Amino acid sequence: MSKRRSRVQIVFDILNAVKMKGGKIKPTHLLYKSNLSHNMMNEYLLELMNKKLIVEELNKKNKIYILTNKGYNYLEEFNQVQKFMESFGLDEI
Amino acid sequence: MNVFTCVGPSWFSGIAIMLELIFAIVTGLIAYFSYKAYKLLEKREILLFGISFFSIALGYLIEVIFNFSQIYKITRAVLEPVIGTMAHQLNLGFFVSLVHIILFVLGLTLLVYLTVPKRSKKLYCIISGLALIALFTSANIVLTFFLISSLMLFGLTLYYYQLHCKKKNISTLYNFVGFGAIFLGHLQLAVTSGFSMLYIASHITTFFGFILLMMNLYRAIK
Repeated sequence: MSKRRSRVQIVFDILNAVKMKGGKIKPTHLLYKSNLSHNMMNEYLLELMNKKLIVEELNKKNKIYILTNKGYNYLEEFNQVQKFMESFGLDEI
Repeated sequence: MNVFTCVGPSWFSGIAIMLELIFAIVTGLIAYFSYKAYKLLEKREILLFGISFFSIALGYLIEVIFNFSQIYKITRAVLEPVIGTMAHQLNLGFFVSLVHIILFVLGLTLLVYLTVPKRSKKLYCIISGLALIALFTSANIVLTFFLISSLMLFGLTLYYYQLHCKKKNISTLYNFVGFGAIFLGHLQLAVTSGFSMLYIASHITTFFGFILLMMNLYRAIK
């Protein structure tokens, strides 16, 4: 059975999914990539927009989510922290 | 309380201070990055890991400041008015060593506690309580300190050895050999009684251990 994802891990997965799509993603793609329910995803998106990690834009009547510079920095910091945790065996604690 | 002194040759005292400053910087940097990781992930264990390294860093830093001030003869003029009469009674050098010992032991206890699979506050209190009681009831506090810290460092070396066997990567190897070297350095200090070459060797072995931890940190944050 897979381990339940933490809130921070879900935030990382969402931001990473946007990054993997070149920094822009449609809500349907994000729903599929983030592996969340529609309500949960909206809740997370609202939080990420409040924190200015992503912005919502209307593109030909379709919604898209764009990763901000702050979002890119967050991802970089998260990767660094993950590497630090692995390096000192903190992921095993 | 008897004080077991391990004194190296006078020409080495400046080098010893430099090495201890490096130990303080390395442990301080690990504490800083742990705090950064904690701020992002908000995991209690990461905060405790950071506090343990911060405690060790502070212990080294206090000793470095004191030893440095001893060389430049500013101890009595600057430190004593701050610490006061208690320092007079205990002897300032012994007082500083005591602070270093307590911080180092509390930091190591926390690190050992984090390697235990089932953790509780009670367990931490028992480990640190036993270590402090053993220290303060000992006839020779410094010798007991080196023995206790060697034992804890051996436990950490064993933990990272098991982790290395499980993961087999360069980071776990750095941790295993790094903590192993710091353990050997402390063990050498425990048996150094008046033998200054071992005092020098222990500093060099410990330095090697901290350099490996620094290299591990550098690999993670570069």
